[in-house]
Amino acid sequence: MKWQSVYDFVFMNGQGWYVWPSYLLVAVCIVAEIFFIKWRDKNAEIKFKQYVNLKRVQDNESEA
Amino acid sequence: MLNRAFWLQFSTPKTFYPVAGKMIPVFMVLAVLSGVIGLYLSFFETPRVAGLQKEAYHIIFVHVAASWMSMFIYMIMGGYAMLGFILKARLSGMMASALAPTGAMMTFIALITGIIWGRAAWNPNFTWTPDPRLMTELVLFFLYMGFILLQVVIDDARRAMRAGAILAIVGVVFLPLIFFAVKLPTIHQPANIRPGHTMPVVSVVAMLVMVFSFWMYSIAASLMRVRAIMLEQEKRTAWVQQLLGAKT
Amino acid sequence: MLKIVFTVIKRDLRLAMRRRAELLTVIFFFIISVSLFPIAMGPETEQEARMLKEIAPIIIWISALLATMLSLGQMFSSDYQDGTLEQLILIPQPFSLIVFGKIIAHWLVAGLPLVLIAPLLGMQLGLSVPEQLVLMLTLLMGTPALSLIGAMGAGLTLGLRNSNILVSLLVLPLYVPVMIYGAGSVEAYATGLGFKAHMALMSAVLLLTLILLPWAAATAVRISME
Repeated sequence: MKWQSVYDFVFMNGQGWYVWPSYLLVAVCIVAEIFFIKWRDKNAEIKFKQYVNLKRVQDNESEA
Repeated sequence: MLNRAFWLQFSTPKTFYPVAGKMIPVFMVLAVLSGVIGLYLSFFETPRVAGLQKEAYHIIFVHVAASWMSMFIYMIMGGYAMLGFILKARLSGMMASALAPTGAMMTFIALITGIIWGRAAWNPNFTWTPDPRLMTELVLFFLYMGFILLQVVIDDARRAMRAGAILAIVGVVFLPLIFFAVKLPTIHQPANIRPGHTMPVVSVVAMLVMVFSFWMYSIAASLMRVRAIMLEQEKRTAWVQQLLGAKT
Repeated sequence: MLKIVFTVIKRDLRLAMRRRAELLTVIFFFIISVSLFPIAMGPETEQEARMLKEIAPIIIWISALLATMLSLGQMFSSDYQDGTLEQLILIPQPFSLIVFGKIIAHWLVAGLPLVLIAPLLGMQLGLSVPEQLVLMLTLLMGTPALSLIGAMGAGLTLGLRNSNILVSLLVLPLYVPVMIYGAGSVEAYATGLGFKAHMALMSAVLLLTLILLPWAAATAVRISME
């Protein structure tokens, strides 16, 4: 084990301030990306329902 | 099973949608596994460094992976765009559009981690070191954003795909030019001490594993996104109506 | 085959001459944006004058980029609005040649004046005469590339709202290598390193854009017109 203690692992001779935010950034970006993709999926569903409703209204109008 | 017809049947959105759905968990699992291995290797098996590097060199394990992926994804995106443009295949165009945001995110990560690492390793005061690779990443970020915004602003889906294809093709041709342009020596470039000529094998292995992990993740994320794009754009087809209608 | 190119050039130049004010605004923008730097400097110390001289090629090149970008809107928009562009696509000659003619006309009107005015602006910023000549040469080779790349940007955004900003975002990353080789040539010359490498690369960029971009711009216009 190259780290002398948990404190050493976190702090890294003062460089921990640089290392951990970087990794945190990566984690946040990944989570955000997956969240946005799921949101886009849900958005596609909503738009689809709107489109179906619109078509139904248009069909009713053309019948009448 | 290896004949063309078998593989070609997956080249339409309708048939690719379920296939993509099955592939996503596979790639995600691969990404997480290799990520865990890579992180373990990079944090616990690499030797401690003293002297010029300082401990912040742990950042490079994500920085290198992200910057490699950012350029790789751009090339693949350009390839798909060209394929979609020449063959008039909608799915290829959709893949190109799906890859773009992931590539942009990789570029963003590469930029920020690069700046953080530059500041940590060589410069106690905050200066923007004009490192050639970092400059290329910046221009690459704008290339991605241009592509994404162009497709967002154009309302007609077909026009958006084809316009993006032209932009991507020209961008791919220009990217090596940009890299070599930024690399030209001028009197203003500071001496760039690049680590890595005598890197221990473990570090190289850890970096490769991290690159693989990011690659698997990018594939998974793009497949997720292409499914969403398919739902958005294929509203009029029967299979989408069946799929989404059944969910209500 | 060359006849169609010349016809298009003549037509576009004639139309441009009727709208002289637009062209002059582009040229004045170039002059003003370069002049902003020495104006902002204020009364100069010698150290500041040296600094201005050092970044002079960069200032002139960036102002040239921005001025060219401003002029890109007019390349296709007036023909698009009155329906001429549709007719131009339909005629039997290859559309790439027609677009090529338009690009040449655009360069003659928006790029060449920048090349000619640059020495005066260089004097304002303190460049010596040989440096000004090198700058002119780089601009002479670079501004056609700017027009070529810009044509593709203009073609892609044809008919969109707020297309000007989007054209800038699309086109500026591609302008970066042209600007770096251009400004770098003068800098390399000034520091005695010799500008042959930069100029060789600049001519490579120009050749590349000459080969690839007329097709790209023509296809972009076609895509926008469907």
